[in-house]
Amino acid sequence: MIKKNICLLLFVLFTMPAFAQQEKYINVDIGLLQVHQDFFKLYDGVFDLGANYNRLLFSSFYAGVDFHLGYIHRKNTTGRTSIYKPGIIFNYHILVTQKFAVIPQARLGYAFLSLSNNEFNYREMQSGWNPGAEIRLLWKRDRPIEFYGFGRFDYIYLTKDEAFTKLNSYRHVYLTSFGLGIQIKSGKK
Amino acid sequence: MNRISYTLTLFAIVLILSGCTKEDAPIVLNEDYLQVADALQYCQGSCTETLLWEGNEILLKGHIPNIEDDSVMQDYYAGSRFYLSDIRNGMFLEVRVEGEKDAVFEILYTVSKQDMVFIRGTAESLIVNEGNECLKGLIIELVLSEDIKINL
Repeated sequence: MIKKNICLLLFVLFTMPAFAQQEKYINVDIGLLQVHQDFFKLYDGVFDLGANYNRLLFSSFYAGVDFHLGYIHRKNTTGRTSIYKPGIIFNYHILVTQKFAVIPQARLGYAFLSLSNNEFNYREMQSGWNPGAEIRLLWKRDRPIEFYGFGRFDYIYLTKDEAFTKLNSYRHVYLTSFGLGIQIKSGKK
Repeated sequence: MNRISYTLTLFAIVLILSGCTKEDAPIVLNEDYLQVADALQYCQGSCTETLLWEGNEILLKGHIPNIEDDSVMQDYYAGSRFYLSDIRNGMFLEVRVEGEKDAVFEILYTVSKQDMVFIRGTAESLIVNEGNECLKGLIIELVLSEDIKINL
């Protein structure tokens, strides 16, 4: 099941650039991560770090590939979870003024959660679909590098694994992050 | 532009709705050994009602925190209790030893912190006041030493 999902995602990732035009940009950002309720409620978020590559599809509509890594832990323990989030993204650039643009973004990915607790030699991997949404406020400049602030919401629906949990509520993972990033442009519209 | 807005809005609605369908289907407490976190999440409710899980047999698995600390073990023995924790997310619950105390602790003294402990007990409720709200939480009653197993 996981292999099938990954194959589907890779197919979309590799075929999408064929439909794209010239203008492209790369984002790199880091934010403070928070995890909400349910299974991970005793965890503290640490960071959400990653990058994405975007190409203009048409008008101000871009598509791209994205990879982010989230890291959460339990204070004063060896309980850690790393969240690997590859995905595809679609965003639309709305020019608010000459200097600022608002960029709403939707993403669909497949997340891998690596849970560990070294004190008990415990390690396991869980995974699941990962839709998400993000909004960026971009400070536009006439230079290749621009800056932005972002707010991001990730939802992960873990694949059913009764050895991990028998409860549906524990299969839902909610993450938010807020932070800053840089956008590196190349190519022309 | 409009089509894109509609698509993004639809996507957001699907996202929100999918996050709202999170009710837990009933689970059988004494079929497979439950993780501590599952039991704590499932066995809770309001003080104003008698809950289905109260007084029922339950199978649980977890680790015993601080098992290698002698003073903690003495406290456990003196209080006729120990704790079972879920090392995946840090949740834990209390196990009260109501019956063969010496025999149960004989077994516990052989446990190391990396051992998974399996117990068969009775799910009892514990009243917890959270602000103005009265809630029931879960504690376990363990009677027989044969109902505790190590690394099955």
